[in-house]
Amino acid sequence: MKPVDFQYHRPANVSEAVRLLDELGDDAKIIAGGQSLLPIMNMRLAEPEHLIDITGIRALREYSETEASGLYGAATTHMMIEDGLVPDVANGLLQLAASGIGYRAIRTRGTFGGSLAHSDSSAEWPTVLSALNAVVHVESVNGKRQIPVRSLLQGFFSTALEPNELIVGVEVPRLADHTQWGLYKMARKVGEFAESLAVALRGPEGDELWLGAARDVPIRLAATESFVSGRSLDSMSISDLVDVIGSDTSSDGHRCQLHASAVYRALQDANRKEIHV
Amino acid sequence: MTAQKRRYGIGARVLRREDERHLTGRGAFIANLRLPDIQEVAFTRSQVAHGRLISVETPEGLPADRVWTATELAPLAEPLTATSTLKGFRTAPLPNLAEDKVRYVGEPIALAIAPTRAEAEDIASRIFPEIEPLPAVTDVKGALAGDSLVHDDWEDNIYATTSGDFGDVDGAARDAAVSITREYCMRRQAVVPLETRGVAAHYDRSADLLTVWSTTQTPHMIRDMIALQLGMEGRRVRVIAPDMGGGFGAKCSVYPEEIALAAIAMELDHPIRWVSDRWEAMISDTHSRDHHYRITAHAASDGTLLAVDADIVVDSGAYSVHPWTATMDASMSSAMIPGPYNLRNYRFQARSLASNKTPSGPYRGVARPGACLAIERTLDDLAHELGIEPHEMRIKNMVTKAQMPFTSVANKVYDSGDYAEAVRRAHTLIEHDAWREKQRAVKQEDRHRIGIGYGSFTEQTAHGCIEWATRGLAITIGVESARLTMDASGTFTLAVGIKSHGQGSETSLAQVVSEVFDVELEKITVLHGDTGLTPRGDGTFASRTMVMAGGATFGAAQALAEKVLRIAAVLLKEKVEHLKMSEGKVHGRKGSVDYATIAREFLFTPDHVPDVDPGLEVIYHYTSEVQTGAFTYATHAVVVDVDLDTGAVELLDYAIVEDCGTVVNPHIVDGQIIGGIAQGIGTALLEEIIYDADGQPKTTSFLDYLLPGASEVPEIKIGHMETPSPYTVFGMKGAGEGGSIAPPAAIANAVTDALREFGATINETPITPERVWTAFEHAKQKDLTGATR
Repeated sequence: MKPVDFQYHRPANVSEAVRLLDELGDDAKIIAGGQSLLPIMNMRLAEPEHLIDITGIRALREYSETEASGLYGAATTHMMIEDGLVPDVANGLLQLAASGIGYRAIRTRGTFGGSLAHSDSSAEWPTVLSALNAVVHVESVNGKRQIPVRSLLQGFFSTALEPNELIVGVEVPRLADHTQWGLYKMARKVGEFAESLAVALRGPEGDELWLGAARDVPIRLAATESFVSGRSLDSMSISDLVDVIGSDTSSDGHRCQLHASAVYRALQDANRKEIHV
Repeated sequence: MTAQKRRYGIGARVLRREDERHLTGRGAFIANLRLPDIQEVAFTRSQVAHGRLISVETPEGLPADRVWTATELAPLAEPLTATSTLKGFRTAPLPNLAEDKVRYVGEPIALAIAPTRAEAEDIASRIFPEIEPLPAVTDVKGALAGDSLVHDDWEDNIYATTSGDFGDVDGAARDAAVSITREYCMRRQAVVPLETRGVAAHYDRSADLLTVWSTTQTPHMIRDMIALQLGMEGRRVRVIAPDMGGGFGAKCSVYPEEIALAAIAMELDHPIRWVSDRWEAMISDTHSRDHHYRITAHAASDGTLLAVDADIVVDSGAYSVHPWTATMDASMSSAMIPGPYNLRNYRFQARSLASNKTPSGPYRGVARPGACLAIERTLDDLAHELGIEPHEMRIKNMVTKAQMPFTSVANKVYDSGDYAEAVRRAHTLIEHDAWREKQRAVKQEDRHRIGIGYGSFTEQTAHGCIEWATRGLAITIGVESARLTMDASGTFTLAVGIKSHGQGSETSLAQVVSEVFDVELEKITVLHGDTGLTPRGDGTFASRTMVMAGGATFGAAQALAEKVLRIAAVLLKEKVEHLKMSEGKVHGRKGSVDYATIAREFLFTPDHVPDVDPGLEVIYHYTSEVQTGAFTYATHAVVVDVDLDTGAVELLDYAIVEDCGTVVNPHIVDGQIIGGIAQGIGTALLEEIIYDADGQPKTTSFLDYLLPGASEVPEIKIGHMETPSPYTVFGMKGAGEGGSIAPPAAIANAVTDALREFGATINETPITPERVWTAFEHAKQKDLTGATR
């Protein structure tokens, strides 16, 4: 469990980082917190020849905001969000999600951008940021572009990023004050990857339901949304959701039961939230 | 011998002396070892569960001593062959590196040596074994079918079958008011000490001494086996076990890596070291459990347990580990099924199977967690059939205090205690009646249920050699030695043959010395884990260290104390019988003299102390008075909350009342209990090594092999009873393993109790949400079919 030999680079700014990434191409991997990459390298499931460490780039830890959104540097750690060192534009949803990621030691290193680039749908950020319709800011030697998280995530460990592109920031739209959010993570133990991860957003326009750990990317539960629309939660039980969740997720048995429970509990969680006016 | 209360003696609640160095990062583990020119080793292990090893392709252009396969190693070291005297036992020699066949994923095939581990892994990754796959034997059904044979020269996949028939099971069955048959399964587990295994070896040509550092619970045994396997004289081998981060039985067997590194070091002019990584640990440390039971039990209408018939099958994996053999679990289990109960009619058959899985070895509790699950779940189901509260069912059937010492139906001598009192106290400690109230208060429509469960057991600890012999072991274990020396400054050095690897024996054994001499623990050094520095001993396992090494220490301390008193008598010009030792001095009627003066006078100027034989050093060898050991017992009680929607089980409350005889150090005993229970919770709820049909282990990292952590272990309420064993020094009984034995039984009983109204039963561990939910759903389906009929 030692990685193969690699060369280590620590650029001081984004332009140097993207230049290196462009030069080294497929042989290089970006490393930020390393909480997923390093175990994979130690297992020799990944054997990059070059590591480009972006944690020395101050700009990637910065936060800025507009009336519509907050822009988090890609190397913002889970801990910074959990501890409120950066504002939470989703009225507490980001903070709660961050606090459920792994263990404290992991959260002090793991990053916002890293989690998205890794694209594991049983992790928190892919689902939560899909639900919030966040947009990643990306740079390469060819310029800048923006990719919605929903299109960035293409599969397990697979994203829409070009090999020479670096995520530099994550822009999260402000959650409207009248939107109630709910989050429920189903895991065997505190800090484990989710077996099911549900986000419910309940606003005047209706409910939006997102689910992680069901497929290779987070999915929106369209059928379930229309099933629950207009019904009160008290009139439904988890078993009432099983069939429709099954069709949204193509799951059955205990897995489907877990998804149905997670969604139901996320809805319950959302209902408990005060509406800010 | 002493009536007065000692400050740091038996029963003193002193902090563990070893913790300071561990908590401040000053421990010296095998990975910390600094040896000049040391090179690191990486193994190439089989990725195939079962197959013929056709060839091993090694990388070109490397010096010959960088890569080793069986071709180079076999002439240097014999394979490990655990033998047994059990009738029909089949041996399964464990190669140091695979030769003609591979029999489990993780079996070492070759090893590479390089200046760093990463470079060694680079080389190892370029070693390509050519393996012709054979059908893998991966479950009990497949093993019993015998279509594929793990060992070609056997006619089936059974290491050995043992059986016994005591009393009149069939006769008792005819008189029974209720008879039930149940099947139970405790799935395969890894052992998972925090520190993985490691071995380093160096042959010192000037001293003609092979030194092997190993993370072993049994340094003297490893030394013997290295000498034997390498064909060397024992005097040329020294084994050192440095600081260790736990063992729990995983570091208790002799491993191929130890023999291989020792043999290769003899050929090299530099030291070599291998430190296992977690993936290797999960597939190459001995596994455990994988127990399968079919129990038929008969009871009278008043709850009296009349007879038990047990069919026990243990999947022991690919090889028989040395010295325990592949039949250890099955034979132990068959003797422990009768538990703490006054059972007179008992029949069993116990089969140990070979499969293409990692070899099984000891794990804290050895076999008893499985036996306890089987008998305790059965007892609860009998109680349910008869409408008796489970704790009352236990109390009714337990061996009574008046019956002690009691010879069990399986011929074990239960030495002492009040088993039923432990149940009563656990019942009180858990607040049974209050929980029953809360349980009843849960509404029908609520999506959760509460359950209460008990698990009782009596546990053989510190058994002697005859006991091991009855289990068929070729190496019978039963002697521990201690050498106690007083130096010229009047301080003490105790050297013992055991290896403390987390038990705090440096503290508790020093307490034994302090009990005799009444000195601060700081005045006593405890040496252990080095065959060059310690007298022979068998090691730390089977909850034996405190009883046996403690017994030896006491013997040595008493003998040394006699001499110290005689010296003091001369110096003080008083009679020996007028002297007593306290607070670091010998006090007479007229005066007193401290140990430093006694030692200096005696060692520097022996002429000042005529008529006392020279030497301030005593060696004492301890053997058990009663060979079946001292029986520790306990009752665990647990309250669970079961989520009917997900099947998740939460532990709401946990209590244990235990009796390990005289408690030497309450802190350490409590620590052992809590740690054991944590591991038992892992067995009960979380841990499982899953193999697929091809024999690939699917849960080899902490991503999918879940261990209990702080958030999974509730506050444990501990109640102590202290019934001294009549057969041991101070009445001590072993306390190391008990915590881990009953949690699976108690938790399975509690979850079953929670689901009684639905008729769902939990007979398999780990009790995963999926298993609970499935049992619940099946019961619901059955209920529906029943209703339409």
